Amino acid sequence: MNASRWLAWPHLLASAASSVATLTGTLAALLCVTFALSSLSPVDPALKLEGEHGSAASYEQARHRLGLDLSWPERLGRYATGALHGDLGVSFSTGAPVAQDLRRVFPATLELATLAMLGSTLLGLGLAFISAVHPRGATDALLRVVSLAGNSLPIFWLGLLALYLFYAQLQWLGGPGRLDDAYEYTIDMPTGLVLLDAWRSGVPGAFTSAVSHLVLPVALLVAYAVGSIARPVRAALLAEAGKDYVLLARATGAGVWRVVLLHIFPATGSLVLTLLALTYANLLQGAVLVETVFARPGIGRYLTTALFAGDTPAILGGTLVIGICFVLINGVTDLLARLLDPRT
Amino acid sequence: MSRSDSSTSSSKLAGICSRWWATLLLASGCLSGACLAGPPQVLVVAQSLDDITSLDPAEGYELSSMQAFTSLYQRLVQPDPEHPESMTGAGLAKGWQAEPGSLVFELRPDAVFASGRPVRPEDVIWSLSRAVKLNLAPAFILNALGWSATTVGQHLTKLDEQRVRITWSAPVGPSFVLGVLGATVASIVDEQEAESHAESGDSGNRWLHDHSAGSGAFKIRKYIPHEALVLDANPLSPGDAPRLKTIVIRSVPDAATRELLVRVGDADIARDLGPDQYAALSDRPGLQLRQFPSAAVHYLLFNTANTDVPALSNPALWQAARWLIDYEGISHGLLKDQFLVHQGFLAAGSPGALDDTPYRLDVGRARSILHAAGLDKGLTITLDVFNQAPFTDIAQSLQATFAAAGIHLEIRPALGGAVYARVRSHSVQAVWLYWIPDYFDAHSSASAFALNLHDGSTSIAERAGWQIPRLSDLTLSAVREPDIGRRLELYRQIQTEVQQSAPYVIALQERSQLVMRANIRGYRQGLNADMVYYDQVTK
Amino acid sequence: MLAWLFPGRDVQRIRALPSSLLGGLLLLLLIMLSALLAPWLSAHDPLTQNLALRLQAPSLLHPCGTDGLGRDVLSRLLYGARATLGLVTLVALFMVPLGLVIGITAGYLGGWIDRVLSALTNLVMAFPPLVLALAFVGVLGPGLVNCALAFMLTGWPTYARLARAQTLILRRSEYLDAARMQGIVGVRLLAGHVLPACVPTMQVRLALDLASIILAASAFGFLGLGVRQPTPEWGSMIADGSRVIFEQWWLAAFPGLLIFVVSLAFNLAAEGLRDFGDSRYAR
Repeated sequence: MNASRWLAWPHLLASAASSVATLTGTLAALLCVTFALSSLSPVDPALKLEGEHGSAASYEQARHRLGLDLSWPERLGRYATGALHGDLGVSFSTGAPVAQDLRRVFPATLELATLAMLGSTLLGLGLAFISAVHPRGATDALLRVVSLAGNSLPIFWLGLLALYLFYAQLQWLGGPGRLDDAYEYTIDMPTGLVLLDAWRSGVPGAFTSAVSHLVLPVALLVAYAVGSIARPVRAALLAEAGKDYVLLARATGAGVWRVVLLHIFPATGSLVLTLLALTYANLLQGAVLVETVFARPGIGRYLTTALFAGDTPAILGGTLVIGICFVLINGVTDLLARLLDPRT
Repeated sequence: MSRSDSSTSSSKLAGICSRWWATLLLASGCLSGACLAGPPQVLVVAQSLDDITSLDPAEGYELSSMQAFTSLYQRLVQPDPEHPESMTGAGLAKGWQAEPGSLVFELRPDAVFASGRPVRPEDVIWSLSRAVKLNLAPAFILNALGWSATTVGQHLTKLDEQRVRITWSAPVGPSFVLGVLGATVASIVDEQEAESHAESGDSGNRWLHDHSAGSGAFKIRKYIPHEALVLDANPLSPGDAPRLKTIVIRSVPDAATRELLVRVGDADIARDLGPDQYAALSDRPGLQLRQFPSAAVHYLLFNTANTDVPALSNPALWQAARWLIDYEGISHGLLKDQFLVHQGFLAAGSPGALDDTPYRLDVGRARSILHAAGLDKGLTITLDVFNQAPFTDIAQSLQATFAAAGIHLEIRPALGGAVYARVRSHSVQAVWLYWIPDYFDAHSSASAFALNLHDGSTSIAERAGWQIPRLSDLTLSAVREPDIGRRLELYRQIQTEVQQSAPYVIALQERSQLVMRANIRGYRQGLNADMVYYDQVTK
Repeated sequence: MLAWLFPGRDVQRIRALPSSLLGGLLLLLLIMLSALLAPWLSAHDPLTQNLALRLQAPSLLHPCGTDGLGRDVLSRLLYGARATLGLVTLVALFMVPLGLVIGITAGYLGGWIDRVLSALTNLVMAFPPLVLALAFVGVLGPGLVNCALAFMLTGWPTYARLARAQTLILRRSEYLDAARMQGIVGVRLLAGHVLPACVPTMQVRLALDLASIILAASAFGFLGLGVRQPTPEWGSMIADGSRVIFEQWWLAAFPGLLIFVVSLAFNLAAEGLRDFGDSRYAR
């Protein structure tokens, strides 16, 4: 870093502070909107709890217990004050504190999404580079179709077929769930990340079991996401490839791969970063079908179950967590993009 | 230079990948092979546990939680798995004496909780009164005895170290009371254990949410909401201690995944597979298919008070509808015998059930009924259904058969909670629902289908807006009737009347279908939702 | 229009269209025609049930088999194209322009406008579409339109962010400075120079997203919020077919395959367009 960047520190701090302010503002707005919209949902949580046959008295009692007899500004206020103290309320449908539930389900999705992200980034960028180096050839066509398949075929269909093939028929990989039953309910999961916990538990075979159960879900998510990285990056690389500086570099004898990796790719850096951020955010939220088919806990499934039960604290808690992730991801991406090229 | 570079690097990459892949396959191959048999002392059940709200018997009122209560707790009286019509001998009460207006129960002297403490009359009194005082979802069952939060204390008296007197203020007979006391809400909980974990006067409700303190064959080792319920055998349980040491109930939300688990052997029992899945597994080696009659009856209801469609209040429409349902086609063809045709509100297999099925699909007869009533000018009625199988399939079949008689059914699929909300608010026109009795006594269903008291209490008759003062009286007298034979006769009369003149058409009864590994023995399941018995299961 | 899309190019030379573009457009045309001509192309009524013939394997009479209620799958596929393609068109027509406008404005103007718009984009992006869909179900009742609305209102942030990133790249290039020196400013600059540069990435992303939208509608069906029965729609057919996937694989396979083909068509066309522009660009 040169001297001018050092002098920019106070400026950076100020912009960091305003970023935090924006972050809080966004989250607050997110909460309000989610709250308002989930109250429009046709599901009545009190009715769901008390059941069809409950008496009118117990129904009213349930409404009171869930705080549904207050006006919505009061409920929102109550929730907000609680949230500031770290109390995210108690789930209507599991009866447990939402914070506890989230601590259980969020790391599972994080693990799945992060591994899938790594895989699809490596694979996606690789495919894009190969395509850019050999454009409009047979390889290019094949790669395009392959990267399209994962994105265009229904993921739960692929998941069920993959389970059928690799788990039921060939018996190569572990099936639904995060671990085999022998370990699932005996090892402790303090962090919620099954790979880490299985490793640290020291139980022989637990780690391999965890890996074996992760292969299919991660592979599916990678297949799903690789197209959305490979294709836009390919398009961007090819768009850059027509520019003069590339012709110059090639004319001076630089190899194609060298040109692609060292000249073209950095020029599209911020675009690629944005893509990666979008894909990661998508994976965090969109893993719900994989979680359902593979019977894994996760925030997607948690949020969906909460929505169908009209479980407002759980909905708000889940949305909050996802919201924080999105904002963080986007913030980091913007920061990185600015660092990469300070002129933007 | 560029081409050779790319080919070497890509082949290197391929080499690394294939090595890693091979190691992984080898490792997991060893592992999954070893685990396929399943540990011999553990029973793994694959079902969906997403409906459980709480494992406190005073609160839990869903299918999955009620099934668990049978394994975790005992009640004063409960249906004997081998002879479900009789309440004798299977509960905590050794016997009882009926006196006018009261029942005196004598507890088994050797009954102990899983904690080791003996079951005392104090536990009985505490359990029953807390269920009423907490006033959660299933409390209305105990309210039917006239018990309320303020008065329940007077009705429960300890006579001595072994006996409890129970009285009630509602005008009901003793056989009804026995039925109510056999419901899961009347489970006897270990007072001292639960109170030691009570928080701010909730009598242990929060702790019992995911722990157990009962005297049943099993106790809870671990409960992870939406994931799993792990039960350990209770060595102090009555009779034979359960044959298996552990039961793991895994929550697997997708039916196709459950099917795979039981095929591979990682699950010993799979519940709630679709009728087509079940039929397709019928000749696979290593599996056995079991069917148990279930007490769930399905019916089509017309909201006669709906003013948008005046025809809904015309009994001719209800009559015509009875001839417009393809009973056989739906139960045998569409739903592959996962349902049977049943047209009385007491499920087949329950005492007093009406087994005649006079109605079948007869479009011609329906059309003449509609024509005679002047309703054949073309009607449009919305039909609310749950947006999942098999309801959507049933709805589409109804749509086709009703269309043949000139009635256009517009299907409105919605989430469960939303459908019930609309029914409750009387906004539906027609709706397809199912009914499961709340406790093992005919009055549970009769009070739903044949009782409309206009006093704010809800029932199916009230939801349909059916005015039945005479039939309601008959129902109330049936619950008071002390003679069992006469009582059953009354219920047959009531069912016939409902079958022939109600604004609802009772059409089908569910069969509970399970797929099990061939080596599983000793599994028992009864008619009611809670009658699932794991204690005699062996592998 | 081509001259506007690729400014400064020699339009008369647009003869050699890339084969991918041709192929993609042809496929799309075929599918759209099938959808339009469904009543004449299908041998059976898509709504007629025949419980005696349910879950039949593909045969001469029913080339794609029959579904759980005995309805002909091929006819349902042809009619389903209408609902599916209609959904996709509606969503795309709304999502992309909105995203473009917001993204370009944020990227070009910078400063506090950028901050506000970016915060708004983050807000909407973080919002789970399912919450919105359920809210619409509560207000409008069940149906595919709720999914469409939910996607429309939550799908534009992706395009906004991509457009913004592209605009930021452009801002530091000499390309815009050159245009400004020529006197092109304001909206004309944005529309004539910035917008076309965003188009390649947008095209590609949209082509990918179209399949995702159909599949997301299918996911909604899987979760219980799909199209109103008995209307045929590819996504719901897949969701229904997944229930019997191991024995009656064709129920989910055929619609899935069709979605793949449509997606392929869109992507071929999109990339063909891009390649076409590129071959001009590279001159």
